[in-house]
Amino acid sequence: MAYFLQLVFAGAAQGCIYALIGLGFSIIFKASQVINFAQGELLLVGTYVVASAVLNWHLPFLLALPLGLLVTIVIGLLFERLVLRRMIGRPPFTILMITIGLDIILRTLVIVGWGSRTIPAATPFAVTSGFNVAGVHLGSSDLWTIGVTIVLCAALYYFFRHTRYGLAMRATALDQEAALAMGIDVRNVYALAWGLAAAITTLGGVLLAIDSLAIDPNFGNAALVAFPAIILGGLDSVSGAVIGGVIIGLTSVLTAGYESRLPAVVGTGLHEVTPYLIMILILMIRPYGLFGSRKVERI
Amino acid sequence: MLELQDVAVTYQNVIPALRGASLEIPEKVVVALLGTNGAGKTTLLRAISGLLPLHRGALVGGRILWAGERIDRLSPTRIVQLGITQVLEGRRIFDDLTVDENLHAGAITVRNPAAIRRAYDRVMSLFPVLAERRSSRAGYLSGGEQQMLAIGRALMASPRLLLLDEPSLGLAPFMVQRIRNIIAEINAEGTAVLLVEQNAQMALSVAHYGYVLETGRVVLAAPAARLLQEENIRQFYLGLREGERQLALGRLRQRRERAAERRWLS
Ligand SMILES: Nc1ncnc2c1ncn2[C@@H]1O[C@H](COP(=O)(O)OP(=O)(O)OP(=O)(O)O)[C@@H](O)[C@H]1O
Ligand SMILES: [Mg+2]
Repeated sequence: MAYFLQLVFAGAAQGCIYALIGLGFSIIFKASQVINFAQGELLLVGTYVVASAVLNWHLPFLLALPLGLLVTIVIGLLFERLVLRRMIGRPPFTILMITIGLDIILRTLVIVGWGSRTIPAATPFAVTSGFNVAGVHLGSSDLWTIGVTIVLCAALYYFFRHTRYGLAMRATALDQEAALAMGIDVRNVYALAWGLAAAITTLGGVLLAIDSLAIDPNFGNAALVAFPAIILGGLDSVSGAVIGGVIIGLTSVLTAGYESRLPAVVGTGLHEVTPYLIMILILMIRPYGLFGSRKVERI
Repeated sequence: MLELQDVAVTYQNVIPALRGASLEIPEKVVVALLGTNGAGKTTLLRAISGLLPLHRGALVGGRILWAGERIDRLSPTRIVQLGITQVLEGRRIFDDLTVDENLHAGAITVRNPAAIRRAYDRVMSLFPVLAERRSSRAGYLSGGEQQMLAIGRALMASPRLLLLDEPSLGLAPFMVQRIRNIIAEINAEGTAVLLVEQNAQMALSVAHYGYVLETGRVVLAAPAARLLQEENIRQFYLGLREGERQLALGRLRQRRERAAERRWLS
């Protein structure tokens, strides 16, 4: 039982990370119907900046983190301002290709700037810190991950439901032309979406890096793992991204924890495919994801 | 108050939609803009409200003046702030948002909370049905209620000129009549209205003045009463045969007849 609870706890923490990264995708998608394939690389740049700030420039973690967030927010805003803004009204596919371009550029910049070797991740905790409850070890980093995610989700909920800009974003997501006709400045909405998404994703990346202790230029692939989570939750659903993330985290950690007890034919890599299996299964039952709306076009 | 001078619009740099249309809307009047499908009515509204770029359209000639100032280069946000709000064809309410949220989205350019409250109260008294359903999802409203919400949402910005694109579209006759009365009421409170309609009878019954648009040009402009009376105009331009509502098929047939018609006019 303790083993199971331990796995559930670890799975929930991992799920929260997918949720944060997934939130980045769905906020941008919801606002502008763009799947941002540069999401992983935004996160990559952010975690490298945080790691450098701590290890090379000896900044305290709590200063390095906002610095990393700031850098990715600026990249997100610049990209939105200089590139995407000119593409408003173009086919989503064109825009999607452009985000892939940004992805490649950012990854190259990271390799040029930091080299391609593995570097230790910045972390404010000792690896073993935490405490035990009923035989379950609650690690500090996992606790923080879960706590940060819950607080952030509550803040986002408040933002979307009860603020002018939140309303503007939801309205724009539903009908861009109608929003424009109301005088909503859609360009500001896009900028806001990119800034928010960049920051939240980077936060997810930094938390993931703490967990994995080290980062390398492939670290951005974490975003690909978050992808089933948002498809599962429904591409255009913000709460769906969170729930999808937690489902994926739980299933992948639970399979990893029990797969050694399964017959050898199933293999030990099962936990890497379960997220995709779950995704396919759910999409067969609900083609638009758990919380997605019917209008979303399949890309 | 609003003046369009020889406005020409093309889409994607090649498709002409307006070819030098001129039109004037004095303060506090209702102007009807009539014409068949594809005549350029919606395009004309987009030119005023600044929505052309979204459709990859651009003003390639003429100018649009609001209180003497050119507004044809301004953003939609700016134009709403100056007092012109458009209600899009097909209602286009935010169906996942509540009625209240829809209305507040309409007031997004308004900074003054007192002004928002005043506009909100006005909308609630104009549309008591909306007051009853403030917190229900707008997507669950009936077609007529959605049209009222679309108009109410536009009124939240307290415009001095309201642009309405086919508000009677797809509504039952009694609802068309209600929309007509609401337009009259809005106008009575001092808001000018540019009313685009296929339902010419309804439009002319509430308008002071009417324009007929055909393939991007104004082919007729006259007081509404005159347009309603003159038998030729009624039949050839407005497609009205005593109370009969035209079907799309009928309109297509008319379009062919109109070629002969034009010769007769010149
Ligand atoms: N987004 C667009 N891109 C290209 N051409 C367009 C676009 N919108 C309208 N047009 C063209 O411009 C012309 C005028 O169209 P518009 O929509 O203004 O007509 P309308 O009078 O509103 O017609 P309806 O009664 O059908 O609404 C038409 O020939 C139409 O095909
Ligand atoms: Mg139209």
